[in-house]
Amino acid sequence: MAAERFRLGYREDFLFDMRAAKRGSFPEVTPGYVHAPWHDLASMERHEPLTQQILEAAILGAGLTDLLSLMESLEGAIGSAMKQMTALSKRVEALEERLAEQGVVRSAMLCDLGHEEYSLRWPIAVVIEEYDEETVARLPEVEAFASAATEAEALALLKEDMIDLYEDLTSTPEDQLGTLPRQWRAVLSRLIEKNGAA
Amino acid sequence: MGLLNVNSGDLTRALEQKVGLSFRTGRERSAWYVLDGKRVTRVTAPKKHKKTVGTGLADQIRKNLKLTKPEFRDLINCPISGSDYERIIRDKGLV
Repeated sequence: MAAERFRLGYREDFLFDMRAAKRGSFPEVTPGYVHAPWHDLASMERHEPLTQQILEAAILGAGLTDLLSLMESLEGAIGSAMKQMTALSKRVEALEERLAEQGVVRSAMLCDLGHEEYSLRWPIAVVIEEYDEETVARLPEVEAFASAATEAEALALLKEDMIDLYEDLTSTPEDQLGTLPRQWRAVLSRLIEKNGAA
Repeated sequence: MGLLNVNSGDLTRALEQKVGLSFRTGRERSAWYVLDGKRVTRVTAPKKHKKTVGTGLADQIRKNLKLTKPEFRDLINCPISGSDYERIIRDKGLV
């Protein structure tokens, strides 16, 4: 009976005859039964069973192996994620730089040159580019532009630049003008007129 | 290869020493790039009182020079010489 009770908590391959062990003889392995007096068995039951420890150690060993393998794969995944994060960080940085470079682009109408001597034949559209630190006003067709802190200042400076360019181009012999300056002179001559000219 | 934080002194030096532009003092701060006795393009100088050139202004100066962004960077940072710049302008057929 005792053997039966004892057997309940143990695996068969770890059972042995405790009386034989006490006599100093080689323990007889009896799968499924333990031949031991009740008090010995009771004493054994009070302590954590040996087989349980072995079993747990085996489970722990297997668990450690699995854990190590899991850690290795996790390390790989983390390394890969870090690489992707670095690449993404560089891309975000480049995009931020591009956004900062682009500014907000819109158009504005220029109705007058604000000059005593010259005026516009008709209102023209100019490009306004607003950046964090400056505003650029430009007339792309003749590559005239001005940069200032505000749109009003930039437009006033653009008008001055257009007049300077017009005067410069109209006072220069045509054979001294390259392809683009010749085109600019033609454009500005159509847009700008001298005040009082018939 | 952006145009942020272009140093004003570096750009002015490149324009004057490599491209050979001579900026007049006073209100007008632009100069003509002349090749074979012809005015090819008009370049505005960066403002003297500022340490860095604004992004918008730098981009306009780059367009004045008829350079791509990498070429513009190279002009400021040395790889492009005055003769290299002349070749770029000739290749574009702007003379």
